[in-house]
Amino acid sequence: MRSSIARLAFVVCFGAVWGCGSRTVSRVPSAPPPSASLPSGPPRAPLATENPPATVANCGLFSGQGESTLPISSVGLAERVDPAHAPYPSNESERLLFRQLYETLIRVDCEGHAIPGLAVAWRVDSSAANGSTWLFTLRQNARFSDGSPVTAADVAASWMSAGVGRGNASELRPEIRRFVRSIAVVDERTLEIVLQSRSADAVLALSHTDLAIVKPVAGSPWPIGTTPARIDGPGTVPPAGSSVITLIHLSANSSIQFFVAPGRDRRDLLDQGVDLLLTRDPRTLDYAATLPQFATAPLPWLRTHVLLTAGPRAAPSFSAEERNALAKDAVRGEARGAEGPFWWESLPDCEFATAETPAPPASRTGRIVYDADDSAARELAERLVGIGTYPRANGLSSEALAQALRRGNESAYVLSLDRRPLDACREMHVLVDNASWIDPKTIVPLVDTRLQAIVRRGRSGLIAEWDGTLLLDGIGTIGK
Amino acid sequence: MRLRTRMLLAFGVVVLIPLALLAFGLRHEMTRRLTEEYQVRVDTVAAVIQENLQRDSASIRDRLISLKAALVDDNKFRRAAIGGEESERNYQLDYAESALRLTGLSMLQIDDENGRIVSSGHFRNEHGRVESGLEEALAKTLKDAPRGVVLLATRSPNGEFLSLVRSEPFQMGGRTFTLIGGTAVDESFLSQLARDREIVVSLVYPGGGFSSASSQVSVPALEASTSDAAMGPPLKVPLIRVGSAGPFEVATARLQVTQSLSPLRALQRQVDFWFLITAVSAGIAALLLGVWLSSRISRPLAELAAKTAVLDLDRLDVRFGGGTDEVGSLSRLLGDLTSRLRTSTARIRDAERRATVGDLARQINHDIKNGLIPLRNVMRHLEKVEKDEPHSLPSVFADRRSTVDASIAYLETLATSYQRLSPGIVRRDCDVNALIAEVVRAEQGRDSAEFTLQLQQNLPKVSGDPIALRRILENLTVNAVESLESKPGRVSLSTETIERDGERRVRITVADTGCGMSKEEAGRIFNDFYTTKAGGTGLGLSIVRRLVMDLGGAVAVESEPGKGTRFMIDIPSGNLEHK
Repeated sequence: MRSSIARLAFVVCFGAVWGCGSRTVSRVPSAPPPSASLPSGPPRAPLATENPPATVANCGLFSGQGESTLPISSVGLAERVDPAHAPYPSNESERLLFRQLYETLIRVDCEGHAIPGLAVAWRVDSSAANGSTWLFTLRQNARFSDGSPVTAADVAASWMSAGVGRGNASELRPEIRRFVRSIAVVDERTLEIVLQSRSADAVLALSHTDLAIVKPVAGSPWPIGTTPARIDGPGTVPPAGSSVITLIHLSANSSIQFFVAPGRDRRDLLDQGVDLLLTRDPRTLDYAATLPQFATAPLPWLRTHVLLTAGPRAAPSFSAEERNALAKDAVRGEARGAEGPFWWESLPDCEFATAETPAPPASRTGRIVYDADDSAARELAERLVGIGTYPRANGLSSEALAQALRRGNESAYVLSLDRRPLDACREMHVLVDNASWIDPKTIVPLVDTRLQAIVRRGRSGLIAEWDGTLLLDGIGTIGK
Repeated sequence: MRLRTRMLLAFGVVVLIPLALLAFGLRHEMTRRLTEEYQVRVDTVAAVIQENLQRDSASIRDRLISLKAALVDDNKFRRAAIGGEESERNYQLDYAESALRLTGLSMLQIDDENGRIVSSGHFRNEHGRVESGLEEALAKTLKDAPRGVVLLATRSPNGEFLSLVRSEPFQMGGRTFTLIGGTAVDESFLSQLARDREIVVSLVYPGGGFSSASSQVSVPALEASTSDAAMGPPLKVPLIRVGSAGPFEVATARLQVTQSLSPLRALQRQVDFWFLITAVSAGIAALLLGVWLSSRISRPLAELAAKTAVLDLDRLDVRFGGGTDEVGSLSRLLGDLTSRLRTSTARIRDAERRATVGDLARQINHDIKNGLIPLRNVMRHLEKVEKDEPHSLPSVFADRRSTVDASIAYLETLATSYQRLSPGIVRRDCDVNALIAEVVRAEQGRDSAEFTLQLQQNLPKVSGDPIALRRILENLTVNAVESLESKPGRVSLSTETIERDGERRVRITVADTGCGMSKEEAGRIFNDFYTTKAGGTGLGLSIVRRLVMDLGGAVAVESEPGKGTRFMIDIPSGNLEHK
């Protein structure tokens, strides 16, 4: 149960991080436009091919065309980074850092194309009758960051319970089982993976960060991954306060410094000279707009804040105009009225029965709750109180909110959901498994939010992936 | 009641009563002074709080006036509020929040002439809500409030809180806006007013309340808490809030300053505790002192009483000690008295002896004369017969011979009796039990007496003349048998060892169930020639007494007419020559 709550807290917390910020950018000052506008539509049909494209054509940010550019060498992280979470990020800072260290079998580029990750080829096993068995071939020279080769057995071990030091080694970890029914080693480079879904695009879900391949290292809090990057001084645990984590770029023989400054004003990070900062804090964006050495580009609309209503009270409905008004008047930072279609309204054939879930107990508090770290959720909840929909609002910690959601005894909840999950069933499973009273039909979308990337001019080499993760140029393409 | 008990009670009274009076007096005076001090204190704090509230209200008003001046000059706000410019809408919505931070207020909102919230600092997303009637209620209440101290129940996302508020209307673009700002009145605010942790400031109003010490205080709880507290005068403050029917209404909140008397109670408990400790200590000390003193006084008295109890004309050898205190003086007096008694007794005995000798001489003279008279008469008769009738002399002599013999026998008996008055003493170790056995054996079978012996085994021997002891025993035994007057009765003889004045003695008891005697008779039976028996000489018990005294012993008698007599002879055991 603790694991489930932690998992739900993870989802909630991600929303909180995404929602951090306090003021809408009224106007982004003139800056060099991103070299490619990032699409925001649904993922394309997956590639089930022996020869997927090895590079990403249109997902680069600030490619610096026509300019002499340097790679990004310093990144500002505004939230706490804890190696104990690796490889599963609990906030945007961990997401950015962990992505440079750990990779999945396949990746999904910003346009929704499946592209090679640790695997260079994959196909449906035609000999299997179920249609959900896939064969994956690992890249030829795949190595962990300590130089040891990556074998199919390493991948299988990483997904087993013992791979992260817990449970029965013969069982897939629960978060893996949401995607994968079984895994078998065919040969040193080939894996046979049976997915939970027979859907043709189910393979896209293998790019989820839950499926990153890692190997624990004795004496180090940091597990090692398969990207050509490693932590300098892997035995050290970054302190809870401000710190610097140095990432060694093995192939480029260079290093990238991550300035971790939780709770600190993000503008200080810009003044400190970082090359990259992700934020939706309007004050920071306003300040960056005044600094000529920085350019700003929005990332896709990746989060949708929704309203969940528990108990017998009917959920309020909001028209598109009202949602836009909420985004404009209530939420500070970049937001818009939530735009459909929403994935929870057209779930595929997922195996959960909402009709059989017990009704939540009658509300005792009458209040609306939200993640205290999610400024957008707070502002939305307060607006709902301000217009008289609910009598009061209270912010809870991620864990407390997850527990409150599980109990279902609050009047309403403001949550942040992934706007375009790779696996809608898995996303709904995470919600329903922990709060069985949730009915997808009662989820009320409110606003969409997104991050902005502030990058120092003259720096380039950022690749955006489908889930909004930024990959520093070179790290994700080494070895291909 | 014994002397020791009296002394203990006296000490207790002398020590504990002054202590109790002292403790009561201290406690009473301390309570009175501290209570008065507390009362003065809370009254002062209440007055200071009233001034502080007035000052805070004035400060809020000054800040609102400054803010009003800045707001009127702010073109961006004007464009948003008057011109409705969308690009400045967020500026308008965030204006009150920024101003709130700058002014240090806890609540700030800008309402338009319709009561619609244009911008709220404490509840940013409350904008657009209409609070009709608030400005009017606030203006009227502030006007009526003597010091401008008015509370407002303010909405926030997390619930309602109270604020000390002021309002300032201003004109912009032909429209009227009102700045409403204030300071949150909560636990910390009341704590700052109290300035002292021992002072509790409570704010109660219809439906709720809190204090500097608690987040929730109700009127009953406040009244209960003030039952044992110094309480200042209540400050009544108007409170504006949304009524149950909808429009704003004005209620009255009560600000109460109290100081708990629990420190005083704790002090009293401490005083009580230490008084108890002192009383117990003093009691124990008095007890020990009383025991010691009473022992010092009563023990010599008890010893004196014990020595005095054994004083007798036959026991004047008791030694009384000396001393420097009163008891010692008394002891010396008793010793002197005993000494004088010894001297007087010796004189009396000497006189008695002389009188006895005189009596004895007269008695002997009388008795001899009595014995000689018949002889002289016979001799005169025989002389006359020889002269007148010589031939009848033999027959007359034969006739009168019996008279001569009787007189001679009488004289011989008389001589024997007197010889017994001066027996000689030959001392040697004597077995008293054996002597008793011999005497009883000789007397057994005589008349109807039944003998009973209770002789102690291993009885120590006594030093004395066995003939004297035998005479003592014979006299007493014969007397006992004769007291039965030939009637059936019992004669008991017993021996035992006793301790008397630190000396071991052998006690011989001879008791009978005979006729007994009166106390007067018992007081004279040891006198010479006193007898109650027909034909008795009256010398037997006199001889017994002298023999006993010659042995260094004592003799006593207990008797009751018709029930019997008991003689007790105590003789020192062991060899007297070694003493």
